[in-house]
Amino acid sequence: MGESLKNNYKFPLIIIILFFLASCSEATYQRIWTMRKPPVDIMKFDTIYISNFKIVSDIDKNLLNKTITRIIKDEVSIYHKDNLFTGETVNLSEKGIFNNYLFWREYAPSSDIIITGEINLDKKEREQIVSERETVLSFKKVNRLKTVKIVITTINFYIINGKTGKIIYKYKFHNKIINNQNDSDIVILNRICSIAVERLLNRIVRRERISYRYLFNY
Amino acid sequence: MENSGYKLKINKKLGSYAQKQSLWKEAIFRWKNVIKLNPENFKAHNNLAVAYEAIGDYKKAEKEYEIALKLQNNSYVRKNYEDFKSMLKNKNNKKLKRGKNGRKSEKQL
Repeated sequence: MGESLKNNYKFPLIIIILFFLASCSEATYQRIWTMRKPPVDIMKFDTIYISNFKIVSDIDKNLLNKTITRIIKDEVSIYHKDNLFTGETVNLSEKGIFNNYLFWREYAPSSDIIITGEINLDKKEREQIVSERETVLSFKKVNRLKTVKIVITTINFYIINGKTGKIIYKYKFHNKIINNQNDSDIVILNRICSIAVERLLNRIVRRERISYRYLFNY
Repeated sequence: MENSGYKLKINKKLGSYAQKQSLWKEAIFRWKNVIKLNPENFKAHNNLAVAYEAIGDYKKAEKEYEIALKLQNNSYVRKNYEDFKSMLKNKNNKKLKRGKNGRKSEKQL
């Protein structure tokens, strides 16, 4: 079959014609990057201040505050490299603190926006049937009664104008995660905060989307 | 007459170059010039639509795609328009889903 194709002069001729036709195609398929416009674009602001969060739960408040501010700082710094600040912990226990523009106006007057929020974390333990592998190496799955940690999280993120103290944008994150009993609090908090911050960034950072379109060239 | 032919040729060349380099604002300017000189050019309308899409002006992009398709039902333009429509549909579906999942508190204040 291969020998006959080699000897047949029609085969390379067809290839050449096809190549010629392809190169003469009037349109090119080009990749274009389109911008996805978020409701608020933090890239427009020069200085960003990350405040501590108001925490409404029994969990270690210091640990939770440190985790969330660290994750926000790390993630935002990818897009906004300069002028990103975190400050001392302030008391946010007062009712309606986020709508108190007088407080926020004096909080960080040198920064353009303040990222802050309120975290409500509810942790429960209960017994549940979990489907898992019989042994580490086997593919067979068995149902076992196990104690699991259920964490219901609600985070209200607020983006506040540093100059006027008014809320520019509010985002409510709500999630329920089932964890193993062996997972420590730090692991669980890291997991939840990462998901929440990732979702927040989708709404406050301009990102590119790739699509392909046909373009005519001359 | 000769001058307008030269202008058309130059704008087409510069428009093609600009879109290859992803200089979309320049491409928009060039393709608009081409359309002024030759309003029946469906290729220029298609390229202008893609440039509008690239800068995120979807309304103008849709209008230009529709004009291009009216002028000639070209397969490349049709494919671009279908992809553009499905992209818009996905975007709207995501917004609807967000609403259904109860994330109604998310709003611009």
